[in-house]
Amino acid sequence: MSSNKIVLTSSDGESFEVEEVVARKLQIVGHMLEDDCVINEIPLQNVTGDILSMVIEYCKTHVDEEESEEAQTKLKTWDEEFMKKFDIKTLLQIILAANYLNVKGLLDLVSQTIADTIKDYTPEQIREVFGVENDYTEEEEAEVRKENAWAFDEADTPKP
Amino acid sequence: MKKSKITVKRIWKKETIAKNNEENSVSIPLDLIREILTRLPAKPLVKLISIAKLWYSTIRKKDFTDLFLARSLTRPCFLFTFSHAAANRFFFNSFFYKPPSSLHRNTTSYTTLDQDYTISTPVRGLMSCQNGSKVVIFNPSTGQVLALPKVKTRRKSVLSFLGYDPVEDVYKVLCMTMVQVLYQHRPFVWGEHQVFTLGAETKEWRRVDCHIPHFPATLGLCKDGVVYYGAWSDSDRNESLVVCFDVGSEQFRCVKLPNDVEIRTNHRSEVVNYHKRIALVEQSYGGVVDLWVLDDVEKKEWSKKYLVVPCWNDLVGQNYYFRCRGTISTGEFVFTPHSQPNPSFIVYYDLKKDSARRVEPEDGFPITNVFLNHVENPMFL
Repeated sequence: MSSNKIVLTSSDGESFEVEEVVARKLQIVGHMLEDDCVINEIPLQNVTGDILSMVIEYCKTHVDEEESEEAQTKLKTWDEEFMKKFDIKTLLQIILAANYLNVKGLLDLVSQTIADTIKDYTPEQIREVFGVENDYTEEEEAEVRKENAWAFDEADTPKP
Repeated sequence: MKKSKITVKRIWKKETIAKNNEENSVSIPLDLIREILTRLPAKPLVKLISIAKLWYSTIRKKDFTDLFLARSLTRPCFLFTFSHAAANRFFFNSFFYKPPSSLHRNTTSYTTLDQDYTISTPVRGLMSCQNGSKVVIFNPSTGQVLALPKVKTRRKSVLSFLGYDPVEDVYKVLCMTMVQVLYQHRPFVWGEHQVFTLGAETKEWRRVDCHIPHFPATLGLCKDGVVYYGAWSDSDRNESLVVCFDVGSEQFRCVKLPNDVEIRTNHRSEVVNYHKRIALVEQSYGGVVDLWVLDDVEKKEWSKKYLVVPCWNDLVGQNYYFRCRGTISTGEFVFTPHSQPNPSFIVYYDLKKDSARRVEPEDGFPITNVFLNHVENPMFL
């Protein structure tokens, strides 16, 4: 396997010299390399150095995905530990980066992690995290809640 | 190639461009929001219609529900039912198959349904439930109940089966009316077969023809567009059969069981999933099970499997009755309690390794019922 080095440059001017096999995990890079195999420096406009370094860490770990159950379990544990390091804001930066750089495995992982994180959030927290403005009038929101009362009905955990 | 050879050199550039103002919350495009939302459990998801108008329309759209369901179908789970006498309600929650030590519930909140309803096996996450002649569709993942129009009958008792037709992508409810005659407590089903299509413009029951006189005796199980249920050919139980209702064509067929096999009441016979095939279980409790596998519907061929779970009494004790409920995606058989007072564990049995183990849901409630191969469905009814 080629041990060609590729330099990836982030939007804030940080450069990462990585093995080609790692860089190819970023499908955006993979496609560029297919189009023109002589590039060895790739500017990545939509991702900062901090986030890019995390994506590279993920790709480095996942570079040779072994089929064996043991290796899979080990990788899954690594994924879980890796995701634990980040707060919700960073997770959102990572999902944007994973989408832009086209790293399917990371996109799945971070989407699931965000879902697990926000599942008990209040509506206000959700709006804040996603930067969503509540465009319902008070009456409209009350109407939505009334018409779908079952959706907001939370049964207490039954006592055994 | 060894991993140690993979190097990453991080080079700081002197004049770094000023970082984006981190105080601003990032703007996530809608397709990524959908990616995230399809990974939520259905219960916390449906509440998010109150976030904003775009979220309301996104979550309720059919293509979103389809994406969510496609994901759910790849990770089937248990649907546990606990009953709470004081509240007179059933409580539902889904639990994941893979137990590290105990089974993990999917959400912290439970959905509930009036305990007066008779619940049935879920089909792609939905249940048809009846109380007298009242039939409702219940979504145990979200808690929504949709009352169906009154069944056209003068009779008091109604039996319903839910089915899904993958070709037309529709759910239909089959119902028939039943008269209880106090003759050895046997139910006499007098036909009046009717079908209701969920989401159709005409919200009414349609009569369908059924030329096979029969008396349903088990819950239904829907697989590949066909609802299967155990039945007798007449009220004297002369013949036991499995009725196949094709949800798309609305036609009935039946497959007779081998001569010495008789469908019995009180869940002692049950139609189950056996490695993606239909099978009829004859429970004899104590970890011993006869399984009749429907190998070929056309040729009406059955084959027999016989299970004996090792060391059953050590595992379960002698006070509890357990039913074999078929297999789950891990390949294991699952046994669930069927006795009062109910214990709060189920049993996994691995036929290949011939080993069985007890598994407990994390809440530790006495289990009322368990359904296998359940999928979370966020559909608005």
